Amino acid sequence: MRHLFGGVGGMIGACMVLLIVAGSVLAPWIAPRDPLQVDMTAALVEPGPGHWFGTDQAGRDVLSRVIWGARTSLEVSLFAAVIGCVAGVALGLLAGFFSGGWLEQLLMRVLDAMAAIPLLIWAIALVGILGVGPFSVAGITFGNEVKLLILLGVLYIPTLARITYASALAEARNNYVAARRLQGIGALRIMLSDVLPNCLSPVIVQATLLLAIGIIIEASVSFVGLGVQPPSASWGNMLADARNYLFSGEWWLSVFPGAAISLSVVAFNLLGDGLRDAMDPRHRTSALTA
Amino acid sequence: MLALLARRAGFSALSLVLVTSCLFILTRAIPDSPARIVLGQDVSQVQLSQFEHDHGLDRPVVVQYADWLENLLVHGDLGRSFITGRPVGPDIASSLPVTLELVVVAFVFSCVLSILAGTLSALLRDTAMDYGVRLIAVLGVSIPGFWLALVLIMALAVDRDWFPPGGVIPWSSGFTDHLNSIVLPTFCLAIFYMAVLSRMTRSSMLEVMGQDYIRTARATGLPGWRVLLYALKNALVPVVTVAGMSFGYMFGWALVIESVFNINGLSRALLTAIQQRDFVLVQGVVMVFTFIFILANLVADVTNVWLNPRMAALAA
Amino acid sequence: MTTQAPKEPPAMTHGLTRRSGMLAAAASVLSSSWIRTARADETGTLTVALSTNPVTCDPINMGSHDWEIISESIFENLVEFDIEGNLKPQLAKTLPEISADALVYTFDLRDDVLFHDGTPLTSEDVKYSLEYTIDPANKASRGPIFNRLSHVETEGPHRLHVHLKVPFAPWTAFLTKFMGVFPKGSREKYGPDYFRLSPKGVGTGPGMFEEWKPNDYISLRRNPHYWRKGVPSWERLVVKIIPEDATRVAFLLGGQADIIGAPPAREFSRLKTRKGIQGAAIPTFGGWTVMFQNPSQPPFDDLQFRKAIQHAVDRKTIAEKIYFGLVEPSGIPAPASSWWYDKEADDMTAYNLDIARQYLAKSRYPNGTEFDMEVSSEPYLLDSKDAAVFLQSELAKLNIKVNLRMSSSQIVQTHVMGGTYQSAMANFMSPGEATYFLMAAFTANSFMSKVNGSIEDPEVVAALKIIFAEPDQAKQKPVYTKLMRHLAETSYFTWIGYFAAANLWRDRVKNFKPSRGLTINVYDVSVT
Repeated sequence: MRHLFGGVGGMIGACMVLLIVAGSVLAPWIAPRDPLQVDMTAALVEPGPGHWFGTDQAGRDVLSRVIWGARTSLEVSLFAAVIGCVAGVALGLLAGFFSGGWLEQLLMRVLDAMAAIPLLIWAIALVGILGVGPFSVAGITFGNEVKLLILLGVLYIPTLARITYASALAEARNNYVAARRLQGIGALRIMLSDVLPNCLSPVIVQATLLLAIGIIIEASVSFVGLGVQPPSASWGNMLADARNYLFSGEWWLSVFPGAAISLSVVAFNLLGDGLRDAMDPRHRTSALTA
Repeated sequence: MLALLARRAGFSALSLVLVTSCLFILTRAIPDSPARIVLGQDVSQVQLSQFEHDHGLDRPVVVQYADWLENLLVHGDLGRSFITGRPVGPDIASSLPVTLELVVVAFVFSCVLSILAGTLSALLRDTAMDYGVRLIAVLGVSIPGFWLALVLIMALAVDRDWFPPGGVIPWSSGFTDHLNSIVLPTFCLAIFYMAVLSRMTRSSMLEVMGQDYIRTARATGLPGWRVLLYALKNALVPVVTVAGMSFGYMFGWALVIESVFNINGLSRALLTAIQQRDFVLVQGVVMVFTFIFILANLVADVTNVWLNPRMAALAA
Repeated sequence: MTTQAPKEPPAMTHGLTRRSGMLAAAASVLSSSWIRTARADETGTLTVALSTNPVTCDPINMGSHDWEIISESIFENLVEFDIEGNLKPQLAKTLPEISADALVYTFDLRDDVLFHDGTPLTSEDVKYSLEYTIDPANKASRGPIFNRLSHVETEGPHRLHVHLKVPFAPWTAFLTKFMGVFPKGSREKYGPDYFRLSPKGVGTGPGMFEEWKPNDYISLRRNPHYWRKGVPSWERLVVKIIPEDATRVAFLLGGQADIIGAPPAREFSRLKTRKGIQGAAIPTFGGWTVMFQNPSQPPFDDLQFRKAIQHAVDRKTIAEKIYFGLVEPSGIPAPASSWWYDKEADDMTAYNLDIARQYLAKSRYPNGTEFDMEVSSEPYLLDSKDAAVFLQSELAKLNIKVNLRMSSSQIVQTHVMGGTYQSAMANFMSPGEATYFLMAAFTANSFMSKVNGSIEDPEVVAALKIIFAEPDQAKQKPVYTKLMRHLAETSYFTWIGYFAAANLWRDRVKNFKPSRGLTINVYDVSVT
């Protein structure tokens, strides 16, 4: 078990991540109050029994909002990572498998161009241009944060594609694979059954690290008002509200959401590092994407 | 070397074109016409069409883009904002220095400290020092810079008065004042990459130190510090690449830091431009940032080649 | 940037630079407070901090009342409102003579006024300025207000007659805020962008335009030839842009700002008693806190629905708990302490969720519905976000889902003024008299007609006609009473209350008081 998670750090990370994920999934049951419940008579109450993390300026329970905020943050970073993985792995596989052809060159060039994009700036600029607010597709209404997660997912693609490409390249040159190709077995089958499994470990590691950075990006974008829109709770927009209370001593408005972000990110980073030590000792992955 | 530079430069130009055209199309595709923002209260269809005609907004997107490109390349003009009516170039030029200063100081700070810390950590592997550095590094990548900024402002600028709670005091008002006012923003900007780069340096150094050629160098009796330098030169290659990217990424994080500290830099100008739907300015700013990003990567690649000429083959 | 001397280990060079920087910073930490105080009192500069971003300096297009500090310092007018809200002569020697039929106003101009470029003011300039503003081709944003003016006739260099088409007593009240006097021919000479971006030499006021640093500040220089002798005593007026509440307060406390606008309501009473800081609030008759609704579109085209909303708003709680007394609640378009207020009409809008439910049941949406509410993300005059969130949660009790859409205050204002909105929680400033808002919103082709979905209310039009022709307040009162009850009945908008003009300032600022017109007035303020 210890080796699976690459050491003590990884184990701790795994436990924390489990707790956080469980907490956010079970949010409707474990949050003591409704995070949107406004109660002006109990505004800005200090932490104590009844409101363990205090209340905000509209009388909403901070603890409940932190728990629900976990849900929002995880949703955004998870789906962004999923989009990035699915698209990135697909492209990387294609480029690596069909190496030497025009497809590889084209994909690599496109990915290089995409890699020239500073992530946060583009995410903010694009969300800003598209406008802040919910949008509807085919009758389903999506919140503003969905725009963010789609954009993030797209911006994750170059990194994931590269990692997959590197592994796929090595795998595709494998004699076994070459033999199978000569046998006439369909490229898709070979890619999925033989090449893909060996590319997965660095991808999983990178995805975990992307989850970590995704939480920080979502918090930052919500902080400047372009992410999750009020009154929905997000750790980032809770901190934005807390800004007005820096000087008047309502410390609980800034401390708890910020600590929540830090702990979650530490958790994912520890897990990611641990997985990397266990699965990818040659460190083909990078912690740096933003 | 020259060939490498030329290829990269050419490729960078292509990236820039791709990126700006994408942005251009997007800003023209949104339904909210700038006419409504500017003319505001009394916009009839006639006036709207007039405005769009006056500003060339009714031409096909491709034509508009070609025009903008020509303006930029031939006249060095980034266009004129619809909202303020002022040319975008000088506005960008006036707010760029502040951001540049913050990022450069933070970057230098990061690089120096992380190379030091990472190297020490690698040399003193598995000691308390090593664990300490690694712990701080994990915290550094996890604690959001803007939250740290809020906490530090609360603790040091409000409760204690050590630093100003916002704004950058200009050089003209006193050099020490100026430095004092940039301590908090640059620190908050720097911690994330400090952590990242020190981890990178550590793992890179560990890998290099374990290589055969290092053992050989030691065996030939070279003094310890020379072996160290030699190892460092090789270990730094991935670090330099990542550092180059970090420099560009920092401009993004500067957006949030400048917001928190109310600093009037270019990154915050992007945010204001977005809020005011000033897309010409948004375009200009994003282009400038992307350009800096590409340039930083280029410099990193060149530095790598200088550090280790054998890497030139790999970098190409 | 990071230049490396060849062969030298990188750590050394960068380390030195950074290390010496850190040492210097450490040294300054010990004396930082002293340094800061010394810096703040830059003699002769008055720094004001506002919460929104200016769009223009042109007096005929000012949308933002807090930025009128610039247009009112650069430009002047025939008459002005003083801080107490009384009409006083400014460029005219005395208040105007009004003809018997109330259609001609005669002004005698001062003869000692110079424009900033040195040329003397004459009646031709005033005629030009007024007629330019009236002319619809010039798209003055408040032009429609003056459309009852017909033309101006000059009689010699210092006397003029303003002719009206119909009796319209309040027009002189609108001069200060909504236009200014500029030299004859200046618009053609300099072009529209000049007045918008850098109006040098074309005003007569105490401040001369110096520079506009985008997103940072607009600065003015003292007018040495100002006709009021001895003022202004400041050398430079810097108006800074600081959207974040906390930073604005921090700048005040730290000395980087002398006067601030839009002080956070919650902090206000605590801050004004702080050492070195003073604060005051003065009720305005023109400061509206309103939930605008677009009655030409669903769901607000349904009267029963509007009445449901009207009764679902707890104005008292908003005034006390969200605005800490800086807003005086009122459900009708009249301030509770004004003479045209009617208590019965206000009571018709009282907070009562049961009544609200009854109206909702009679409306098209008995099971609730959904609508968008626009809110400004930075405070304009006051912060609306908390009130919007509160309303959202209150209406949720009626199964009505409110989607908050936040954008910058200019965007919200543009949407509201253009009628391209569903509802909006906004603050709005007007001259402190009874008719402006009613005329602007409920009569055709007026400044705010689109806000009301271009619906003209004939009762309002008829009532206003009587009021404009009848100068006696006692005779006007019954007309207002009837009008207020009608407006409570129709509830076009959900009025919440009237806000006070509140400012906080440092001790070094002398002779400053908040103005009933809200715009910070500093021409006779001095700094030590």
